[in-house]
Amino acid sequence: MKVFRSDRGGEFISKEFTDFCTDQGLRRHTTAPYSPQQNGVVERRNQIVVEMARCMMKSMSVPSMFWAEAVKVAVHILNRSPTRALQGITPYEAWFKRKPNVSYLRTFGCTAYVKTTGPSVKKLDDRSTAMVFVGYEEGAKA
Amino acid sequence: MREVVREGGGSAVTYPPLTKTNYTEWAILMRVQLQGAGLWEAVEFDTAPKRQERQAFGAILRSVPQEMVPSLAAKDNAELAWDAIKTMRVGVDRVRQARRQKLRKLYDEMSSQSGESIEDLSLRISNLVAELQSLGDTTTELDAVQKLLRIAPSRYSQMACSIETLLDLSTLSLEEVSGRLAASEGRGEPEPDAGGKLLLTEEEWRSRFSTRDPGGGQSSGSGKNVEKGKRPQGRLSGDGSGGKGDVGGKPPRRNGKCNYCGIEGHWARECRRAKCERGDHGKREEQAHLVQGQDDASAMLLAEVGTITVLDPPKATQVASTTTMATEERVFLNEEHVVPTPSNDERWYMDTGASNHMTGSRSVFSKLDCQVKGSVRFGDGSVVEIEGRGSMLFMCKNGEHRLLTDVHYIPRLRSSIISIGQLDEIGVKTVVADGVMTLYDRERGVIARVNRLSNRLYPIYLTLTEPVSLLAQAGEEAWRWHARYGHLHFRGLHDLSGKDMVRGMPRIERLEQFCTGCALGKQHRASFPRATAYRAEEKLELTHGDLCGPISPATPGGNRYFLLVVDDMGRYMWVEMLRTKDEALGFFKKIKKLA
Repeated sequence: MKVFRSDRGGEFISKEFTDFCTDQGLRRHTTAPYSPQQNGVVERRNQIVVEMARCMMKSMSVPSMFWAEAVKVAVHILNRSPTRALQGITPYEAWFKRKPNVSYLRTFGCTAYVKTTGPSVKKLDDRSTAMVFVGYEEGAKA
Repeated sequence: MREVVREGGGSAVTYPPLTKTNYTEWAILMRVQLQGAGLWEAVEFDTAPKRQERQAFGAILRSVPQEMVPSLAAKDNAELAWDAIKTMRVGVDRVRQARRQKLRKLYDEMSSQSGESIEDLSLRISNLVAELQSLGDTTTELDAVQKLLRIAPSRYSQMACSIETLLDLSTLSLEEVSGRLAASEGRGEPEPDAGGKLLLTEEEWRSRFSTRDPGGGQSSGSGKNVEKGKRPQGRLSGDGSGGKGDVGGKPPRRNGKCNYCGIEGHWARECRRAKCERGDHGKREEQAHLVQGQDDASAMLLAEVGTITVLDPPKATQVASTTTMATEERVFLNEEHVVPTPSNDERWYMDTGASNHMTGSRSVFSKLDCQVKGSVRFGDGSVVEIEGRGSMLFMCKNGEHRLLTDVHYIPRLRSSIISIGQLDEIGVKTVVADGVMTLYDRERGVIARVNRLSNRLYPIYLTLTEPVSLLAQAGEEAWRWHARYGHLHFRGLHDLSGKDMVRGMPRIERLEQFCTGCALGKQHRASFPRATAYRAEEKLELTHGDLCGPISPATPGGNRYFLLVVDDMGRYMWVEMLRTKDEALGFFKKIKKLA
């Protein structure tokens, strides 16, 4: 990471943060005070993320306490979605240099049946349990 | 005795100092001074008496810079010292050749610059020639003279031609030629007919229109045809001697009824119905004038079609273009068909064929810079002088003031022209459709609508105004009420007063002028650019981060914030949930490691 651009929120200009950046040879760009417009890229993304999360939660009537899951799913999806800033590829491809596989995507909040596995499964036990889908685990074959 | 004089002369003479750049001039001056002191022989030939030689040497040493003295003093005699300086300053042969080539090129490419006087030009030439000669070039005075005559500004071309043909160039000096040329400048300028600047002689006018008028057969130059209502119309007069008959010379309108058709307001001879029934309308002749900029690189082109037969459209607003003869003051054109135009209005023709706005009326300018000179050539080869450039202020239909800039002042022009190309440059859009030309401003919409006349021209009438000062102006009342009402906009004030919504308020006219207070009070930030100018080309070259929250309700885990980091290159995102803001650093580290 070479340059990190953020606003002047306390968390970004705290001593520890600054020290960390200096330590890592990371240059800082901060916006002018009270000009969120200058932090446009991430502010706009924020908006997109939150909007998507809200949509997903409302449409499936997910309680709002699960916003964190929704946000994570939104980011997950957005990384695999087209953006105007890129021509013909997704952020995922730009980053990993390969096309993302999306065959596993599920609707957020849908009912998912979790296969019951393990040594304790008896012959007549339910083979799966109904649950609500709330997200993907990064780095795992779900 | 001679010795004494020479001594006196030698000591009184101050020798020109040699600097890094002035070798050529220095050498010339030095030679003249040494010749004057009778010491030149000592430099040129080493046979001169020792005493002279020493004096010359001393003179040379006195004129060179201090740091050169030791090395020169080591030379044996004046001649060697002189050559040493020459070598040092002029450089070895090869450098000299290169310099000579460069100067030669300069000399060949030399041309007169606009605004340069003939004296300056000749000085420039002679300097260059002198320098060339000092470098051993064979350029002679004759070459220089011929060069000057070649490149003299076009207004001297006639004079140059005369000099070339009547005088023996080989006996002329450059100064003499430039003097002669300069003398002609002082003489001919104010005379309108001097030189080749004549527009059209009346002969030409006459022949032009008589040949183009096959049906009528009358010579339009004669006084008789006046009655027939035929007249050539053009923007150029035969000479530039004034605006005679332009507005003032119109005959009074008829008070009673027309003898022909019985309708009030015109004479029988100008009766439209009469003319219709005589069948001489519709005979329309066209004539195109092309204008071409002569000195400007940008060519001025202009085409105007003037009707010869006056068709008398409902509002026949032909300009009274009159042609006066140089010898007899006879009005050449029939003026009866001229309907007076509103006096304060200026009629401007919209023209795609003109490269610049032009007018012949000095009074329209609110600002005029007479320093700007140049000339315009029309399609028939006639040339008119540009006498300045300025701007004019006019009022739009909504009362708004607009400024038309870069208008050329050409005193001989009878019509005023607005160049559509020039308008386009400042962002005015022009649309011509269904006989109406509409001008749009990018921001404020329609500026003007111009109707096509029967002669296929699009004249626009501009109402000239004076520049207004905000503090002292006619609408003082309006401004006071504007301030009293807390800087309410003028439309509001206009409505308040006009629709009797309040009592005790005078009628306020709408002003579309600029109030500093309003402008300051309503100042807002310019919008941010829609797209960034810079995009990272590598991963992680630039990342954007923002903390979002607090979001309620908190998640079951108690998280209330999330940190979003976006990579600028691929817009790949990472998100981390936070309980409190101070966790940001830790998670930022985590993201950084991930990346």
